[in-house]
Amino acid sequence: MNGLFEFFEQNSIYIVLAITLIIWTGIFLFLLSTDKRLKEIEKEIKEMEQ
Amino acid sequence: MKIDYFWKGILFLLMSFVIIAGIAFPIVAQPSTWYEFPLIPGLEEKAKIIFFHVPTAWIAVIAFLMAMVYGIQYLRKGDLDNDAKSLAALQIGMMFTILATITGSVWAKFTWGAFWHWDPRETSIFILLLIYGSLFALRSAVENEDKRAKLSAVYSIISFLTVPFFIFIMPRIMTGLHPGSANDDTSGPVVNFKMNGNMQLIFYLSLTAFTILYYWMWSMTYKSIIIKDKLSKKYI
Repeated sequence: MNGLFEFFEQNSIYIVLAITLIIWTGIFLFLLSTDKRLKEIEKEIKEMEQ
Repeated sequence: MKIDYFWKGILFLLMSFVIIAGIAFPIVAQPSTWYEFPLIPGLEEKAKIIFFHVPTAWIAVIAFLMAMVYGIQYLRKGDLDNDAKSLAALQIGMMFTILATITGSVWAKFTWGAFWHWDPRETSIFILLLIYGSLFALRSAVENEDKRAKLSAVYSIISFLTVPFFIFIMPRIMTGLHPGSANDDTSGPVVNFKMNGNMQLIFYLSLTAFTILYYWMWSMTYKSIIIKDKLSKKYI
């Protein structure tokens, strides 16, 4: 465990990598949920129009 | 529905791979394995910007192209739906042009020494920002829907004519600091400059991932514009 910590301390680019991946995952999930919500609104409007 | 999840899953994996490769793959003088990038003199570690900065400019070009295509379709059919599609493309194109300018500027500070140089590449993207910025000013100045759509369609066609010149031609025939300009001794098309096969492959994967991301963002923007239009017509 200590060795792993030291490895990341000396190769901090992997920390940057992990952070960027987490941010990308967050943005991706946000896009998924917003897209889903938009589809629901579209459906509701279609029902209202009928 | 299923195909929907399929391409979104592909996008997630592709972009994750591009992030991993683009950030973590080391740059060495003599690449010997598939995950090593070659050292490009003058760029060194900063060469990795190509995986994230160039795709933003690429998306801007695609978006402006699509804005023109839907503009032409609007002029042919007079369907306001096409105007919404064109507007969605314009909005995303504008955003990515700004992103390309900002990322390039940050990179320039550490490669060339200052945030802004009026290098041919910087000048041309600045002019593009002005051209497309005034399109939004034009749109907001016209109240009548059909008139606005018609003006916007014609403007987006005329302004796209300048895009190939400003993005692909002018920065390459003029001398400048940006990689790929006329006095760059690694010149030729920017894509080929001293990248090895792996680096090119990851660059193209990055372009693909960003293009799918663009399509997703575009379809969401388009949907929201349509919804807003419908609601404002219903209740006013």
